[in-house]
Amino acid sequence: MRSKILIRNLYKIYNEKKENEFFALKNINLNIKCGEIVIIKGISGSGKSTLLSLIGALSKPSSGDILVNEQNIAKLPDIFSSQYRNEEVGFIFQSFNLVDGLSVYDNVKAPLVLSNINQDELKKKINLALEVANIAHKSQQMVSNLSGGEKQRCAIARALVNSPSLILADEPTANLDKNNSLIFVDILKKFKQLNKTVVVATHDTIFDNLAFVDTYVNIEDGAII
Amino acid sequence: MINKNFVDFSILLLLKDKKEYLFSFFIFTFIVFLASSILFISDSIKHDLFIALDKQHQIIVKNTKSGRYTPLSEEHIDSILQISGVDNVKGKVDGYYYFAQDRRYFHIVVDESLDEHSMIISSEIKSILAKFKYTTQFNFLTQDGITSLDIKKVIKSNIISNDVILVNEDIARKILNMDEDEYSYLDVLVPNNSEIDFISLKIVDLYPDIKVKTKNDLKSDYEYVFYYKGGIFMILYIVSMISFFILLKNQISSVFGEKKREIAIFRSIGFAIKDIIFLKFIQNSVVALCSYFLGVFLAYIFVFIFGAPLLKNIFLGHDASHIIFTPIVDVKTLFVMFIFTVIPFLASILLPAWKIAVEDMSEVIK
Amino acid sequence: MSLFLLNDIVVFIFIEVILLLLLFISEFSVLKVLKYWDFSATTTFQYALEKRNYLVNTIIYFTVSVKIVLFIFFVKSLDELSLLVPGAMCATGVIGANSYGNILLLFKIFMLFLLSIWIIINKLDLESKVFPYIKEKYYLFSFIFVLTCIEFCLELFYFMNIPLSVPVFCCSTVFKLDNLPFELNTSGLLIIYYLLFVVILISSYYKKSIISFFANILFLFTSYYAVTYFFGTYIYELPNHKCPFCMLQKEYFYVGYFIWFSLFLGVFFGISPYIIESITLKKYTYLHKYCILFTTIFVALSTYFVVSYYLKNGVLL
Ligand SMILES: Nc1ncnc2c1ncn2[C@@H]1O[C@H](COP(=O)(O)OP(=O)(O)O)[C@@H](O)[C@H]1O
Ligand SMILES: [Mg+2]
Repeated sequence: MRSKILIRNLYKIYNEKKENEFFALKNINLNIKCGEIVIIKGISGSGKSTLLSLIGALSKPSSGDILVNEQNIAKLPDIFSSQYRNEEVGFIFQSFNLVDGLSVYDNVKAPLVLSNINQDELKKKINLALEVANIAHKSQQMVSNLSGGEKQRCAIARALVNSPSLILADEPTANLDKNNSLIFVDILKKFKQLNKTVVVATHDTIFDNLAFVDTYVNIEDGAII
Repeated sequence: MINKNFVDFSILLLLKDKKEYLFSFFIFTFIVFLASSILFISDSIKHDLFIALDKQHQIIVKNTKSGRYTPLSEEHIDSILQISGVDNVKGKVDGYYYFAQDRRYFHIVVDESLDEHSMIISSEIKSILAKFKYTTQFNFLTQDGITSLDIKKVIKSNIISNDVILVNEDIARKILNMDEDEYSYLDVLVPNNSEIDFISLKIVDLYPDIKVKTKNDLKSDYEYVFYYKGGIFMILYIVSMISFFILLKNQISSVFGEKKREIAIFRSIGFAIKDIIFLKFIQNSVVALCSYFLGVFLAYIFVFIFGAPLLKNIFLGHDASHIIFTPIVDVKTLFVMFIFTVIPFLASILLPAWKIAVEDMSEVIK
Repeated sequence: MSLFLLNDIVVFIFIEVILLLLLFISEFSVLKVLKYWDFSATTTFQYALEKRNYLVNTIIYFTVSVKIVLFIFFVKSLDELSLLVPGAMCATGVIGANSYGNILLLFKIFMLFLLSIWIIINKLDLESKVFPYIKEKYYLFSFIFVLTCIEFCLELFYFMNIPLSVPVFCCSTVFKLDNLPFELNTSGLLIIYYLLFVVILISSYYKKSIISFFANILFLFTSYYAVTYFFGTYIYELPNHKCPFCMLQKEYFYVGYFIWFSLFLGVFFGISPYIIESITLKKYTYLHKYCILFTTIFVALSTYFVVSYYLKNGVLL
């Protein structure tokens, strides 16, 4: 199968050439195929988030290549990397990262306002995403009034609204109770059915030994083991 | 091109954070209010001056002797009438009466429609006379005793009419102590505008002591005084405005700073640096436009409905309390105001907007 | 100090100072980029430089928008000043009031040209993923920055030296028919005018950038004389009224703005492909169609006044 993400000799060094220089990622090589679900496991501080942020073009590597759909995103100018984040990637963050003071609906709308689509299409896309994430009944609520599980479902709807092919989730269950965590695992399955490529960084054991997960990657001190 | 969804969304965010923008909104409204008030006042004064000027003939002739103005005689009129191109010459009586009790001068102007016992005064003069208990009539002290006139009518005080008393020509001569054949100035009618300069030269040739002012000269004089004063005022204003803008900029930077995380979230879902800058630009343009319209509107009410208390005295001195301003709003003034206030405002947000837009996004991961 | 003569001038100078300040801030970034730019580097410093790019862009977009508004404002203020400057009936007298005026006006037009070219190159630069023209566009920026400083000085000198007592010459004396260059007569001028128009149409249609470049430069000068000495008289409907500025006034329905702006836009779109091609070393023919559009509008508009006069009166002036 075609590879979705191909990582070669990836390094991320914080505070390069300074006293407190720190190798967060060391020579990472990874091949993730289209439609795969990948769980990156490792203890806190092992470099999972750093890796996800590089795949999602939130930050730039110190060296090495990250090819997504055969395009190297490691050195893209801001306009292109932003477009990539907007169209290709859906993020689900540990702390949800919703915009306080806006309704669920407006939060989900945010990624769409960059493209010039008409109102009908805009509504259709948002409502579809809300349905899939099972949060449509709360669409007019302010996000600050939502529970943890609902917040995450709102974040999932936002991640899905632009129908990205790649979903990146960083510690998605860290702020959820057991019940909601299990719901998230179900949603992962749904992603699989939708043929999304998913990368989850976590240290939660709830993701261990899931049948539908294609690959488990263990990371320790910034290196894959 | 400009994306409607994006603009709508920016305004949505602006409404969400309206409290944070309130401060800049009020400061900026105040800046616009002040500047518009000043321009409204000076435009209005200018308008009244030019209206008065339009009623005059093309050439005004005055006589001088050792540098002081002295009356003209019938002889002057006759000889100027001889000049070809001159249609008519009118002798005018006009001058100042010193009202010793209040230590002020009244401007005596002739109005032929009045009879020998009545006068028309401005509301400013009315209030001065009222202070000395002259409510229905006033006694002028003249060379041949007292001349008593009834107040027939009171007219509005504008910049021209503020200190004016209109009387019959004979009475005017009496009050100003002028003889039958004496005139304060001559009003020369020249039908062909292109001959004005030539004819003024001719008049000066006839009488070297005579001072000639054409309508255009007067207009230039007025413009000069106005623009010049206005310009100096503007400089002072700019200085105060700059300090306001520094205040504003700090405020905006701190507001933007509080929004770091929000910006990082937007960046993570695909907003580019240029989008964030544009977003901030749209939001602040909306603030600026609202403030602009509110400021202009308030200035209009302040100047033309309340007569600009305080500011009026700065412009016109202490005895201006009765002057009213003719409501004049010229599109050009609004445009100048717009350039003068909105552009610096928007310029002052470019740098903070860029700074916040290029902040590190990794915050969202934590 | 005729600087304070008009509120407008004070406002004008104030805004120009603000723009200059903004450009100064960008120039600082530009110099940094020019010195340290290394696209292949993966250091934080290099990425910080890339971010500065967006500051410079923002400031330039802002500057250009404001400069266009200011340009119109400038021309309008000149008209206004003609009431104050003795002898001046329209902007001719005011702009010719001292030796800086005409240079300043040309400078302003030239600056708008340059800034627009910068924006096009910037657009090409941003469309690519490797910043191919970043050095070129930043050298051009520094050049623009220096010119802006000069322009600002010219503005100060110009406004400070407007005479208020000595009468200036106005259009009736400045523009006389025997002022045409190369001892041209009116018919010769018109032949060149329409000939160049045809050359521009053909070269733009076949996207020959270099021919279009030279033809448009010639056309700019020819048009200036043609409008001032020939077409203008039909706009004013007076055989001896020769002036490029009076047509900007309200009496002539501001038609001057349409005439001059269509000319400048046409010439801009006609010469910029060649300039851009010589900077980017790539074909860039996208703008030729706009050249055809605006030049045609310009020629049609100027010819219209002659034709309509002839139809109304049965004779030419
Ligand atoms: N901006 C930064 N500057 C310096 N060190 C950092 C920075 N971000 C992360 N690190 C370090 O990099 C290591 C990996 O961080 P992270 O990727 O967040 O780990 P994880 O997500 O696996 O907990 C940690 O030791 C952390 O301290
Ligand atoms: Mg982490």
